[in-house]
Amino acid sequence: MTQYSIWVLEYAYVANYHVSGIVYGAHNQGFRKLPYCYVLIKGNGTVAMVDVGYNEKDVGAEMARKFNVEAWQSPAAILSQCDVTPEQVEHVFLTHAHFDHMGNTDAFPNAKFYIQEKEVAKWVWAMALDQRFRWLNLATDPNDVLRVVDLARQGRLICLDGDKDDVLPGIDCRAAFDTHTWGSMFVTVRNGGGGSVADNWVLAGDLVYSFENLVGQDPEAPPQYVPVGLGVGSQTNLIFTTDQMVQEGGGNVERVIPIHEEGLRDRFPSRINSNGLRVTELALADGERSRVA
Amino acid sequence: MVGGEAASNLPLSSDLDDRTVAYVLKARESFERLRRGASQLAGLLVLAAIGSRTAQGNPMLEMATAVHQEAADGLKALKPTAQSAHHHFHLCRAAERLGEALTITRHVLHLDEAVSDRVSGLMKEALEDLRWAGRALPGFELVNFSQGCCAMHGAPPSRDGNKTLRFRSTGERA
Repeated sequence: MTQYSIWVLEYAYVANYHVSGIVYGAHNQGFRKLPYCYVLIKGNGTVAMVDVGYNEKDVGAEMARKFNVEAWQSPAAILSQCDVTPEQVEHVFLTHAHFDHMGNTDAFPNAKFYIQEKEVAKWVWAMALDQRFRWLNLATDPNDVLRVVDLARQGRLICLDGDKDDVLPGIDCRAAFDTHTWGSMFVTVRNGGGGSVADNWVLAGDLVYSFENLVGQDPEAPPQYVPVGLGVGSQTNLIFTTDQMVQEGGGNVERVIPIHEEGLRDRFPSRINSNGLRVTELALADGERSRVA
Repeated sequence: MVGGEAASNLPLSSDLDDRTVAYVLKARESFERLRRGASQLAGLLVLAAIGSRTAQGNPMLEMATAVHQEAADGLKALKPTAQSAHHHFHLCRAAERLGEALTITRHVLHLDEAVSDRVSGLMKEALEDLRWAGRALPGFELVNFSQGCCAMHGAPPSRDGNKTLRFRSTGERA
């Protein structure tokens, strides 16, 4: 029995992103496409997401102008590909507090948002530091901070203190402290319902960007973990977290999903919409129809 | 500097006269200080909203107040030109609203719901003014993407070709 349908939904992309930002130390290796995505999870009578993307109104023009982010589409348009509306989303797992993952909470008026308390606390801590330390606040939008205030006051922000099993039935949040960010987390969906890890899906946030972070860059060499290009925490923590994610995926690296990986379209059933954005279907709950067929 | 970028890499695109360029270079300090002050006060509101006992009496309030004062002093010293008048208007209004939010916060014992509402509203207005200021002239960024992980740094010129700083002397015709 498959409990949840899971789709990776591309909502914008950078056509040419430097590989060294994706794989630590991969200098002078050119550029590749970097999709921006979030994950939709539907089943067991609820709709959930992992991350929510960014708000075009606030930062979109700047992103387009300065960083060549292209083809942004609203959550309403993107979710409609799976016959879901933003209003139907009840739970959102925020893997970390970067603008392209949590910058569009306003678009989901009925959702509760789960984030690690440490991510919020360290975020605030970094704001209090002298401007010499402002690198620690990179990619932080002050408007996101106020949105978090609104969510908390509305009782829609749930701060987690470390790992938490069964936040929803069969869905676990796993803390990954001091890695990509101070309070990052990943989400494991135990989709079989029968205790078999073979049915697990691990939704990695930015703890891995690409398949190369999971197996290394040399296909002839034994696999190895290589951290992503940016961590405010430790690269050591990043690669041990990567191993933890692989273990939660039953030892199968293909069950760890890097949302910024364009190659997902070749590994899993996918389709490209008229705006050039991709829908990737990881799993279909019993009775759910395919959105990529 | 804003966003950790050297002035020589300012993404200015419009033809600006020398006096306006001078204004931009000076105004960036005030803009950055207002952005920092707003972020710090917003951080304080987060602590209050999640029930942290460290919200009241947190040194961030004094830091935000100090950085706002520095920004306000800097604004007084600015000499806006015709090209920068719109920018200056929004920067001043942002400073005014942030100042009011800070004053309210400093004079209450508890950030209760009503106070938080008022402060949060002023903060949103201040940030909106900063955003408008950022749109009025190039070189003012509310979010620091300079070394962000998912943005393309050193991107080739975008479709509108706006990537390089262009100065135009006051005597030069557009």
